[in-house]
Amino acid sequence: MPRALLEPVAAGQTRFRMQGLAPDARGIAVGREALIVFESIDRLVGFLGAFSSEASLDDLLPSMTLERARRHAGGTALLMRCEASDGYALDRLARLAGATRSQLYVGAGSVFVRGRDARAPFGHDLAYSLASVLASADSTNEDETGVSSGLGADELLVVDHEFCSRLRVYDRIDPVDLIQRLALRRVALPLQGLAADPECGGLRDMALVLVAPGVADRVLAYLWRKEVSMAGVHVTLGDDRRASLLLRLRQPPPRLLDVLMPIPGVELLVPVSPRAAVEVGYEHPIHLASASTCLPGDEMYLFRGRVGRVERIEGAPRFVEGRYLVASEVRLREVDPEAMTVLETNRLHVDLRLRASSSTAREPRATLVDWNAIETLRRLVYLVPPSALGAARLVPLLEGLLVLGGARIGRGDGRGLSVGTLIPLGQRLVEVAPGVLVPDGHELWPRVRPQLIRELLRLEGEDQAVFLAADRQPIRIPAAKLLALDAAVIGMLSTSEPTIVEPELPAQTLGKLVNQRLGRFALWGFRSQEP
Amino acid sequence: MTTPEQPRGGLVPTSRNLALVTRKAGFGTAAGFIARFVLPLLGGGVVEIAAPLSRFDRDAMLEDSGALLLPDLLELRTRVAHQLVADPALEHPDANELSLWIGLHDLLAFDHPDTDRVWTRASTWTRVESETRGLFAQASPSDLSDALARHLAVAALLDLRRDDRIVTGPEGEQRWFGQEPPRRVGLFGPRLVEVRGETVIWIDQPHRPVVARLLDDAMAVSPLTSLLRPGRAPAGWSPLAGSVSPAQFLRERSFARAVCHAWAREREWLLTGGVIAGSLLRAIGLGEAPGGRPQPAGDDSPEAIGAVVGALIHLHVLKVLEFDARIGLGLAERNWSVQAFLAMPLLLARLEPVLGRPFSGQPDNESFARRWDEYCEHLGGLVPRPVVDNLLATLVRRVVEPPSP
Repeated sequence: MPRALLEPVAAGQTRFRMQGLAPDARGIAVGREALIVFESIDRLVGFLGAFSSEASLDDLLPSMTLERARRHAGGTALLMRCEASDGYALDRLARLAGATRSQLYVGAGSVFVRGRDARAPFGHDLAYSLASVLASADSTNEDETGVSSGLGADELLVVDHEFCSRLRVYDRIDPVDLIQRLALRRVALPLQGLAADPECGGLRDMALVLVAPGVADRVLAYLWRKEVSMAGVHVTLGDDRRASLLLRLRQPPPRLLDVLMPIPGVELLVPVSPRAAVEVGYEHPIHLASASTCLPGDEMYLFRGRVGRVERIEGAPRFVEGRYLVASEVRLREVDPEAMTVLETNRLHVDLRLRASSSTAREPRATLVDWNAIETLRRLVYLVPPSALGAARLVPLLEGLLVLGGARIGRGDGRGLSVGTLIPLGQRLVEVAPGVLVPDGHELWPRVRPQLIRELLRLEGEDQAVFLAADRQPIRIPAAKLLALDAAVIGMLSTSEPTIVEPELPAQTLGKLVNQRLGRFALWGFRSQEP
Repeated sequence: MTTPEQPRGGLVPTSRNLALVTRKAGFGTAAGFIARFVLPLLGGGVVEIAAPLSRFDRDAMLEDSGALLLPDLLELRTRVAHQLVADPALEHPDANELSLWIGLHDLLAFDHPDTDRVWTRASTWTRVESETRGLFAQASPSDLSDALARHLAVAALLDLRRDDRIVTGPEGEQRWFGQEPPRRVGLFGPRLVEVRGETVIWIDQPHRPVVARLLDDAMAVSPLTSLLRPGRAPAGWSPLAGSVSPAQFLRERSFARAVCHAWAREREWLLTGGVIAGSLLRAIGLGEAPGGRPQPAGDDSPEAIGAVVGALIHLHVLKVLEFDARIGLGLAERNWSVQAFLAMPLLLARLEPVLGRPFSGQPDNESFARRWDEYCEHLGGLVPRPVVDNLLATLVRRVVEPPSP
């Protein structure tokens, strides 16, 4: 009948049989250290991976030691010791250890007891004194191995509910070294290629490309032709005689990645932290972004999956802009000064002419009303909508009255129809360039840029230019000469004072009750028709 | 109809000489009474209340009945009547209308705050009350013109205001009803500058029991006022009963329009419609009379009932037109008369051959027809179906099918 070696800690208990235990703020018995016993290395790696994805390994690593131990009764185990004097940190460690089928113990020095569980929410304490527990362990060991010994300097005693185990440490493992030597895991990539993945396998923002020396120039030329934003540095990997090219591509096109990935000698690497990159299609068992202290110094680590190597690049790589990496053989020739004489001798000079056009119809912007049709125009003004009338301008010319519509240079206030559309009088003018009007059905030949026409005509602001006929010079109308059409046609209004008529009858109001004072003899002499 | 007697002495009454003469005239004369009571009552101003008058006083006033034909009075009556209908047919004031005015004055005199200090026996006050009741009885209208004239005075009574003076002293507040506080208050008590004024509506103030009784008589004299303000109507009032029944007004297009718009202006138009509908149903024996009081016999012809029902439906039409026909929930708490009023538009399909359909002659009534149909569907969800079925079997039959001889 095994006897219980541990007993649950009561709520509020402050004194313990086991030295080194103390209650935390919640009354849970904790020690200075926590010990996790792993049966195999893969459970340890699983624990570290789970911890790194949930919290930062940087918090754990400074106080963490990894040791190989041999059980007194036979067998080996991996021990992870770390500082844990807080119940919350212990809970997280216990949860993650349970997930990897390992056990958490608390204690200090060389004796550890099982951590808290459902049966003992405040933790465990020794049921007997440490000496009797050690004695029972020794007797068991004597029975099994025939060897009896006390706790040595490199020995640990782990006490569980019904057994205690003595472990002898025989090797230490450097956690940083372990993490760097871990083999990468393969991850599945989209069958249709990286372009099918919205994140491009983690390469959407930035990709590192490790190019073997033999194909470096061709890859570089290809990327240069594709105008990819890139920077690169030549790095010497291991014992290679020639330096490889490490390229950094910012926001690479997904199609480009699919082209690069199957090329032999080209490896795409996903930057997982500022100083670590993992080959695409692989992942590191540890979440490296939360384990910056695993990668000491300022070196950069490239975890290559296909070749199974970790490349350490001395110092932070200093990337150089891609255009300095490309060798160009194009030679530019200066403009021959003698050829400029073609322009200076006006051999290229042509005239800007007004000619009839059959191109698409434009909306009339203005109309030139003959002076004989002024009377008709006066009557038509009543039909113009207010928005068009307010935006219309007027210029008297010798040829007639030029009525300009709403849309003018720099101010698109021609809302709705312009007045040129609404007035069916005179010659309609359309706009071929901002502020340049030609008769409807005509255009300027050759078809130079509209802005250039304004510059050639030296138009500024809201100035207008009107081409009336092919054989006549254009008319320049300064903005100051433009008159508002509505103001020009109305002239001046006069007002008259209204005559206020007093109402003949007073306004009706409500009656207001006033009780006249009644005398004491008010009803004297009151006569009624009834007896 | 009684015609006023010709003024004696050949003096033609004009507003100018009456204003000069009657400014100092006493209440005992027709000119003084009209100038100090009737004209302010109808047209606004200070309505003076003095000692009660009797039928002897009325007869004495009729000795000088020229004041009844005063142009100012005639014009004022017409102006007030114009507020209700566009073309009022008003006869000249007669002895019966004078009886109503004197009755209204006596009614107000019973609410006079100084009645307690009058040295007289209680039986005298009883005689005053019976005299007032007799005056009201003589003022009963005989046709629509008379009833319109009665409405002018009675409606003005309901709108009367009163300036009360409140003096705040160390012993608390003291209120003078429609009077100035006496000088002694200022001499021995608080200063009169601390007097606070308050304008109240006379009809909403608490009254003596005799005033409440006489008010019912005054409202019974004016069927049009009772129809316009059914909340003030006397107990047992019926839209079909009376020498001039309210239903007769609703059969006149101009009055029906005025009445329906007056109802629609009320904030509690649902309650107003409910009172009318309930009174109508009680009058034709379909509802339980309050207190088991027998209902007065009246004109229960299909035309009269149809006029009242049509007016109630038109009230719904007006509310739909002004987008104010919002009837909230909580309808189950309302009484059966309100439910009967809400059920009226649902009866229109059966009443249509007799009453017609709203805006049926208008060409552009699609929008209204859509809103009206939505409103009727809304009412169909609110009003219990048994209420509609009950009205279809009783009220509608009285309108659609003529009574068997």
